[in-house]
Amino acid sequence: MNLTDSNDYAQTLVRGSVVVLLGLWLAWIWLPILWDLFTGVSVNPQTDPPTLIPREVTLEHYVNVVQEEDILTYIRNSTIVTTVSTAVSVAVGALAAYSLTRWDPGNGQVSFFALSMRFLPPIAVAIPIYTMFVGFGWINSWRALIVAYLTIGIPISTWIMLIFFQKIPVELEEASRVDGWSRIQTWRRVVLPLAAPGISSAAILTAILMWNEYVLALVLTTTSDAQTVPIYLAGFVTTRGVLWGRMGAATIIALTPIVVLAFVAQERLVAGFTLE
Amino acid sequence: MSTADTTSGWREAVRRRLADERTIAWLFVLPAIALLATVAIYPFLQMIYDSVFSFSQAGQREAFVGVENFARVLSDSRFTGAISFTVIFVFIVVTVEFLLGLGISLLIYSPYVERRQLFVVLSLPPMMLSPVIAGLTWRMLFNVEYGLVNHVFALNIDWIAGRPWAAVAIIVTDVWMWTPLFVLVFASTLQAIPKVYYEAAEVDGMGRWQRFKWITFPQMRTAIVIVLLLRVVRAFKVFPKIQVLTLGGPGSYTESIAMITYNYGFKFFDLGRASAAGVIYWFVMFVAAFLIFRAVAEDLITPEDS
Repeated sequence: MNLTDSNDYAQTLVRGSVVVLLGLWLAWIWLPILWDLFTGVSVNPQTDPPTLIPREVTLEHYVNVVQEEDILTYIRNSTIVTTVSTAVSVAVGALAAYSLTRWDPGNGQVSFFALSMRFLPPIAVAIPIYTMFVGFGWINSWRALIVAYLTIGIPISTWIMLIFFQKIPVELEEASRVDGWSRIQTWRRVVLPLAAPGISSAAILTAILMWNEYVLALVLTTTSDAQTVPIYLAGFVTTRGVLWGRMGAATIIALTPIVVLAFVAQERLVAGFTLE
Repeated sequence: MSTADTTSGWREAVRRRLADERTIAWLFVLPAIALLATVAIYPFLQMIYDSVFSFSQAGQREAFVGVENFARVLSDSRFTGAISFTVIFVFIVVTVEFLLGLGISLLIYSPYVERRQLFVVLSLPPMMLSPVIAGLTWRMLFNVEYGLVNHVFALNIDWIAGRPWAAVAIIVTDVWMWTPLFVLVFASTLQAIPKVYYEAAEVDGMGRWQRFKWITFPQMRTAIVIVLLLRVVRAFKVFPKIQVLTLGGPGSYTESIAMITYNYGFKFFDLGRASAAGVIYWFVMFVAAFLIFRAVAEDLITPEDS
């Protein structure tokens, strides 16, 4: 009787500490993000620091960020560059990954090549690309970023789809070929539906990487005609001087789509990140 | 008549070629290889070539200088300082993130927790953010006068401009951002371990620690190796986070290799020196990745044997 009591007690203690520790963990993750949120709605966060429950809430900083700082222009640039470059990367990567899992031309050399691309530091790619694009007259344009981002997008999307496609049984394709379907019919009706989760995981992850990219955008763009959201945000520190309220508001605007994505597409994301 | 013949002969040849799977295989990988060769390999070779030339401020190649750029970079205390800062940074953040990530994932998969997937998903956001956002967020938190950190712990530390605090601030930011990756990868590995193993261990009378040592850890080994490799490679690229947190300061105390390489090219406008630094940078990363890879290659090939 006593024994079970003390066991129960120990159990409760352990359970309690697990709950407390995980609570601390989640607070550590979310407090900084909440702080951005609170700073962005405080009237004057620089002289009157935000409190956990804001005394007075204002949307002034959000209005300023949109109207005076024109954040929407940077969002437009980021959206165009990310969309086009992701689409190209995933299309090209899907073909490559399919071929590598089915026939492996070059006996592993090609996939090793794709993987080794990730060891190239972005700045070591940015410097020569910069010289090349100065020659083309491409500096400060969308196409400069779209093309440069392929160095990130193709290796990562190929890699993720490679792992996904390996799980699609070849037998299914062979069976449908035997049933008299053409190769194209087989792809459309058998391969594509099975490959869809891998393709969407790759697309989401590639898009996030490009949306967040900083180094190449810093080197290749110079004005709001082509600059992306991260460059705009870094400007709070590097060029415009720290305006806390606007910084909080802009940060929240920039991170919301990503956090929403984390919940909406969690399954695809988790699958992609664990393979990354 | 003869034209029609040649056309159909040509078509026939194409059809036969396409029926050969090797041809299709190469056709499929060709766009990826061609694009990467143009946008990554060619510029990379160009950089190696540029590293032995001097450049004008306007970016024009001037004269062949041999290894002079390399000599200047390697004798620059700012560059060697950046190398040691980056190496120490990588070592500390990866170690802390690994241990913390392992601990948290084990807590999430302890028998006391329900809705585990929710905990994992709630842990994700920092790693999905731009390093610029993470840097700005923590810059506000670390502000000496109004920052939450000094406020909560009743400190008066200048986290941005003090030594060694600037380095600590960068490390904390990186740990905040990247521990979630370890949690995510370890959690999905733990989830995949068959329950039967633990039931059998219980029958054998194994304790908590023994179960971790003989079941959990061996099952996680491959995941550990892969995620460590990924993180080391990625941590070596650290730059935007530092740019918005400390701008490399105080002085050049927190400058990373990527940052000084960028500065050579776009602050001092010396593309020759920047190229040499880029080559050295790539080499350092390659060696680090190679050493880890060799140390763990066995695990990657035979993960099941242990």
